[in-house]
Amino acid sequence: MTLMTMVMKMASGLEKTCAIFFLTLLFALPLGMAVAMMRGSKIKPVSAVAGFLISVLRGTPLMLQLIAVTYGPYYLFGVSVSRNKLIPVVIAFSINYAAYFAEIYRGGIESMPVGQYEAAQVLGYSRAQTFLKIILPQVIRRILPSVTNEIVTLVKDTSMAFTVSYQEMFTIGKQIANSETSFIPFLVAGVFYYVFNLIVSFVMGKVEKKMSYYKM
Amino acid sequence: MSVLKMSNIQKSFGDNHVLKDISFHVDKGEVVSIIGPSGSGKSTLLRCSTFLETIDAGTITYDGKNAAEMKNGKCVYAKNLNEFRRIFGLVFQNFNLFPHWTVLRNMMDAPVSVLRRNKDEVREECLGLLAKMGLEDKANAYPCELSGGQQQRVSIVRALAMNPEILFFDEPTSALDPELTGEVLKVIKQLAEEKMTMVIVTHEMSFARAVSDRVIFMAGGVIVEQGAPEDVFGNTQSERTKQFLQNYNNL
Ligand SMILES: Nc1ncnc2c1ncn2[C@@H]1O[C@H](COP(=O)(O)OP(=O)(O)OP(=O)(O)O)[C@@H](O)[C@H]1O
Ligand SMILES: [Mg+2]
Repeated sequence: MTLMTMVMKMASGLEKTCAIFFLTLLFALPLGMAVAMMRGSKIKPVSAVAGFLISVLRGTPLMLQLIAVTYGPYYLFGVSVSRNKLIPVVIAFSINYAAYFAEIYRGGIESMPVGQYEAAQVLGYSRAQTFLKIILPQVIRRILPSVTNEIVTLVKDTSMAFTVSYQEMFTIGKQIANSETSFIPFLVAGVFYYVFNLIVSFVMGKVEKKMSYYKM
Repeated sequence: MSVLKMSNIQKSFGDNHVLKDISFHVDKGEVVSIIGPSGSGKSTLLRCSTFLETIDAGTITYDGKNAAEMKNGKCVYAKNLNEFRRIFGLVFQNFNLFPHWTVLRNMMDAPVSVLRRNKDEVREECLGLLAKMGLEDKANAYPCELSGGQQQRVSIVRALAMNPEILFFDEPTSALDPELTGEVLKVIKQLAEEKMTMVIVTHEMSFARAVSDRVIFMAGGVIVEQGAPEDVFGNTQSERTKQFLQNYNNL
């Protein structure tokens, strides 16, 4: 197989890599906020459940979670493994990343000075207004660097989908490497991830710059 | 009628009995200064007046309506506290401006989104207030681009933009470099001349003396002495007050 064919074959899996990437962000970013809210809830059992979920999701390998979500339903309920593995893969990635985002959000919310809440309260803002208009925009600004870190990790983590044989770029590369007994596909994959992350860093850099119109 | 009346206020933090039966009132157009040693409960009293802390016992009355009162031996707050919040404004020691908003947005947002007032009308009013404070060129600046004195003046106009009946200040100049306190005190003095009702916690004794109609001296969670500034400063009755003022003069 020529290098060009390898690259083309692997590139055909990029669509699926991107699907994991974007869908995970789409679901995990808001889901993380919901989990962060639960974690910070005054109702003890709610906060305890959220804390437990976060610790399990962060304390076990993503690889295990992928296998559990993809094959778990078959072993537990005899439900046949869905042909479209994108669904379980995105579910596993989303809940895993939601746990990480939840901790980032929580740290950001807790870092807000209490004076911001007090000023808002005296001015008569409702709790929802205070959170959405005053706290959240500042929290986003504060946590953006940590979120960027997670996004960079997510780009690389999409390769984990090979554990459930989801035909994304890395899985295809690994198959070619096996059949051709060649190391080249791994180099190609490395270049793909690196370029992907260059783009991510560029975009996030722009966003961070746009948001740093004020000093904290 | 008094704008604010606080009666028999009790407040503890755990075992720390901070406010022990405090009663005072503020009449319309009156400027009341609260002075006293550190830890005497001055900030706690302001925070109770503005509902940032809840009192354990006592009555808080604004414009003749009870915001907090005793029922069957328990202190109960009114349900519509936000309506009471429209009556007062609070200026914090460290400003607490919203850093992600411009000066104008800091002023306009609450009148528009809390009081649901007309945006253009509010803008006109806010620009007028800024001009009055000599801050007209800062309307589109962010708080971080201003000096401490300018930030504190902005936080004063942010409170004024809500058209409060009474304005509380908790040590408005303590976070400022000494050379910047003057500009803030000047603004407060100007408000006093316009008969704005104000309660000012301050360590600036000469300012308190010059600007107030009444001075309250607090120590150990009680009001030790209160009266016209000439009396409290010039004809001090209590030994505790004398001692405090003396320490001040020696500094
Ligand atoms: N949120 C709180 N939790 C526990 N204790 C508090 C709290 N706020 C104030 N206190 C205590 O209440 C007492 C009075 O504090 P307060 O801040 O009202 O004093 P102050 O007169 O404003 O002093 P200063 O002149 O230093 O500002 C102090 O002993 C303080 O430690
Ligand atoms: Mg204080």
